[in-house]
Amino acid sequence: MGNINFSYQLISIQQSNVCIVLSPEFQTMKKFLLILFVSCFCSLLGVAQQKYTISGHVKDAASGEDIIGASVFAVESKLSVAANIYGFYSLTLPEGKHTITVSNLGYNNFTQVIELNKNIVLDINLEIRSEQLKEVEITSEKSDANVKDIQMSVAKLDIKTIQKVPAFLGEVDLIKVIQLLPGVSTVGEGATGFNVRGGSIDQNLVLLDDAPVYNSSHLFGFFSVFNPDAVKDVKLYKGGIPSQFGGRLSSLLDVRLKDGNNKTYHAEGGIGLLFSRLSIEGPLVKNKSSFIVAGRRSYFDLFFPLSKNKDIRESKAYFYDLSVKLNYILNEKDRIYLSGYFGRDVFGAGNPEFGFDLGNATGTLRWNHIYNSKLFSNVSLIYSNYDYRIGVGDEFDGFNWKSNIINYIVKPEFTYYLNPKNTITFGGSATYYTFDPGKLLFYSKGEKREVGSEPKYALENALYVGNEQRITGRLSMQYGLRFSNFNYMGEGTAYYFRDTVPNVRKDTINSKTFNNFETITSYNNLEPRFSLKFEVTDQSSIKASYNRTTQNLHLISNAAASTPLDVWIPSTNNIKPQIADQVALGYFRNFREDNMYETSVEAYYKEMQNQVDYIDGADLLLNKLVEGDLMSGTGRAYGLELYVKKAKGDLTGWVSYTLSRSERKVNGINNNDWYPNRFDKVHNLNVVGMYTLNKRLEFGSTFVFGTGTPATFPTNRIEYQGYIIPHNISGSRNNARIPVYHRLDLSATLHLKDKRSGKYKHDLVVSVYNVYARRNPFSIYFRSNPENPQQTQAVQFSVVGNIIPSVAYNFKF
Amino acid sequence: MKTKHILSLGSLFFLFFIFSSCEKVIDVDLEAGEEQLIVDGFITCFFDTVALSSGIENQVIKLRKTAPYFNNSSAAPALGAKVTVTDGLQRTFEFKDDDNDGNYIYTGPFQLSFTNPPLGFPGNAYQLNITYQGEEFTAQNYMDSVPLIDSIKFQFQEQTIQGPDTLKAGYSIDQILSRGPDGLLSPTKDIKGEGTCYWFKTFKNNTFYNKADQMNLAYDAAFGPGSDNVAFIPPIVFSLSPERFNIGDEIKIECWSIGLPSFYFLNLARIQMTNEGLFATPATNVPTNIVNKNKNSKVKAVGWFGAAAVSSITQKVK
Repeated sequence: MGNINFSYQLISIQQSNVCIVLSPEFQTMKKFLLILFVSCFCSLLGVAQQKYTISGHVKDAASGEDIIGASVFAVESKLSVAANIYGFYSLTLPEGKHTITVSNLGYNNFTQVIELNKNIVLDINLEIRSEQLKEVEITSEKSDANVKDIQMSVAKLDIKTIQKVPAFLGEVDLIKVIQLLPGVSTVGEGATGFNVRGGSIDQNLVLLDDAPVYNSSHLFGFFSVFNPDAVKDVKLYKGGIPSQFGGRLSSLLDVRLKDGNNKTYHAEGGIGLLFSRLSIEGPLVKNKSSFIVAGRRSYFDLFFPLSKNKDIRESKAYFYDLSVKLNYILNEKDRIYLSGYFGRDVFGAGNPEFGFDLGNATGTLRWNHIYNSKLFSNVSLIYSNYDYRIGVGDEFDGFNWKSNIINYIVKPEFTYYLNPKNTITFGGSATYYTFDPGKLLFYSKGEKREVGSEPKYALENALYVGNEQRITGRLSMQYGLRFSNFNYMGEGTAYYFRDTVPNVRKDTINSKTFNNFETITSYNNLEPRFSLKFEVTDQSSIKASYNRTTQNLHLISNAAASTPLDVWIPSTNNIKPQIADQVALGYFRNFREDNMYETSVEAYYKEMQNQVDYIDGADLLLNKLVEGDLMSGTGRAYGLELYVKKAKGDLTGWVSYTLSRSERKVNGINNNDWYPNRFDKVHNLNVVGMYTLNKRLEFGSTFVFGTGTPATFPTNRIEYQGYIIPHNISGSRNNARIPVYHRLDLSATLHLKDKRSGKYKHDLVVSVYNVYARRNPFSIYFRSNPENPQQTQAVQFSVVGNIIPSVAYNFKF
Repeated sequence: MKTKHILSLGSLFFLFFIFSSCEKVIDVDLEAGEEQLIVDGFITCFFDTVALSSGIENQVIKLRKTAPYFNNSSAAPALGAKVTVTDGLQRTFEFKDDDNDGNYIYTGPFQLSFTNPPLGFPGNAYQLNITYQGEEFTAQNYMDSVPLIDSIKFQFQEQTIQGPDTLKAGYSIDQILSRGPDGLLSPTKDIKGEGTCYWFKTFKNNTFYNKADQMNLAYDAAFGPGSDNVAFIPPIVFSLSPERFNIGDEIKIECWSIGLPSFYFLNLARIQMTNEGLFATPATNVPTNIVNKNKNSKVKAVGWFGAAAVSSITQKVK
């Protein structure tokens, strides 16, 4: 079946008008890959032997949650497979007796001897490793995924680790923890999003149960939208991205919500300085269906009405989010999941009332179907919406500003476990986008005016096929191809510009209106993906990967930290798809027999085409001719990532160090020469340590150090109309750097005693952010002295300039 | 009650403590670039309420030199230049620096007839020519019309909290009003035509509010396209009061019809002078409309040559 589908896709690819724009360096590689790709798939055709398949789901014995990525190992034949994100596994073995061992970090190993003389369905329930047995269990555990998995440039974080890292204001935040991994950085505190391997923040595809999340922050970037109580698993792909994922250049952050306990009811929650949280999970139909509902709300505004001051009393400032998931096991072969997220930030003040609110809403309906023991499928229907509204006043004097981006996605995906040596994935997706880049209705003394741009529409289709192939016991490859087709279409007006002097607003020469669904422009791209793993020894491997990624959505923002008002726009007749080619090479090595220490060294080089940049003084909001203010450039990023992790014992944690550059070249900026990106950090060191003193007391600490980010410093002053305007005579961009960033955070968790039943667990978390109260710079800017405009000064701006202690109380029963 | 009040204030303080960012003046070593000529001047035409007063105003073009950024003395004058302005009627006016202070002034004669208008009149184009140290520079601009302002309406405001600042109680400008053809007063409107731009200046007791963050610019009646020919929107009217005024203060409002190119220049200058905070944009140089006639010359000038009709109103707060 997989073969048939693949050949069909090959034909469809050949017939399409495929555009491949490769830099010369990659031309040779492309040929090599194509040959490799074709020859590998041909080799599949010869494989057809009489064997039987054992398949099923791996679950948590206590909660019934699927366990993602559990390793299923056939001892005698030395063959293994990892459970997919729905906990499903399939392993085809010769007839006879097999010892099956299933393991996953944090669980007791499961071992069963089976007599295989027909296809068998075997659901496996793993038990959580109890605290008392921990010391014993260490030696029996073989957590060597980092060496054995073909995936490189991937970081998997379980929510328990995330919860142990000291958190800003005590609010557990997975995005902040991701920023502690090698190759990941942020432009500074309070900045939305994160930068992966020299990519900008809009180059990360953030998925919450398959639904893209367009703004992953609350309160402008201080907190992420993910409620830790509802999250099961977090995986970040920085490179070697498998062919089933596409749409962004630099990374994929795959966040999976818990399914909910299908055996018993549980509640979990907490009160911190900022949020109060509550989540409830339990069975709807025991062993068949479960739900989880998790909500958070900030509550400092509850004190506002008590104020004597009218302005405070009438202010609004809060944010909340709600994550919901239901799942239902229809029968042995079918299972349905429904998940949703809804979150908003709301601000309001003054008279006439000024209001600002923004947020994401996502919904995912998924249907897992097992056609047979070898073919697993999942079909997802996805909705995602990010919108904001700003308004003040009424229809006499006031305005109302709205913007949104909405996606409707259909995504069928198939995994075909052809044989123990080949696992084929194939599928596709269709996404219909509507963009409302912003419309402002305003009233001045009763007269109405409308400003802004019309909605834009696009349809993106993708087909992919990939195979993970074990060539010998030590050598494995994963290769695939993704084809993406993007249509920018009506109804709407396309504008055509005269491109004259770089870095000057382009004049409109023409505009044309298009009807509903009429294609304005379309782009086709082929994205080859390739990874290779060679196990040098049982505890060490070398991995290499190449991937091409394309991106047809662009976040239009020229600020240091993206603002919630920034809008996404599609590739258009003026904006070409962004394309990245990345190669990476890594060495992975574990130490000690029990793999106590995991280490890795990875080097990468990435080239990026059609990077969006902005003219000086670009007008990016509510501008229907915004494309005339955009420029296009190329980017390059390269780096070396060192990582040491200790996953077991009383002391756990990791050290990550990244040496990297991220640069850009745009005609009209920096004298047409390369310059470092605003988020470029040459050195980036993170040390994370967690220590369990005894059953009641745990400690966590984080130390981060990073090179100061680039900034543009002036040379001269222009005195004009009494103002002093900074001026750089060479016209260079990012010619200087702000001072280094470093910070230490500490936390202590006290598991409180409880006289009631043993089920009720609660703890107190005390954390201290920025322990030595360093005023870490976010930026340096130049201005006139407010007291005497003739005098000029350099000002260092810090987002957090204090030590920030906090306390949180969490409970679970 | 008191505890409640403290609690609510406490929660606010807590927020500011966490999120009010901190700024610190620091020492930075900057490279100094070579010196350049600065051109600073607007051809103006002043209207006081309804009377044209241009006839008695001298026209001034200031020539200065750039200095290292932290050089805190006034910009040095550029002396010995030859400065002329040619208008759309092909009349050339010579500007002279008689005081040797870099202020090149046209002192007359002035005419006051519509067939032979004075230098500086709405609807005219101007070309500046400068010869300085062997280089010839030129620049052009056009003078738009300006709405006339008849009066200011003040309103008393209670003390309010605005972000981390507290504004004291006092008077602020609620409206600026113009008289229509029917003789009735209504809120001042932007002049018809897309892209007419204005610079509003506020003076209290003859002192100009001269900080960069007080620069009040309008594109049509708002901040960008789409607001043609309506009353200036509340944020622009509110910005006419950089602080609360007291009874007896003499407030003057000037409205300069700077035109679109000068708007882009001044707006970018304002952004560059106040480019702070989380959402700062990349620091860039402001553009200039001063062009060296010799395209191959490496000598470049900076600054801006503008033209604006200026209407004004002076009124005491009472």
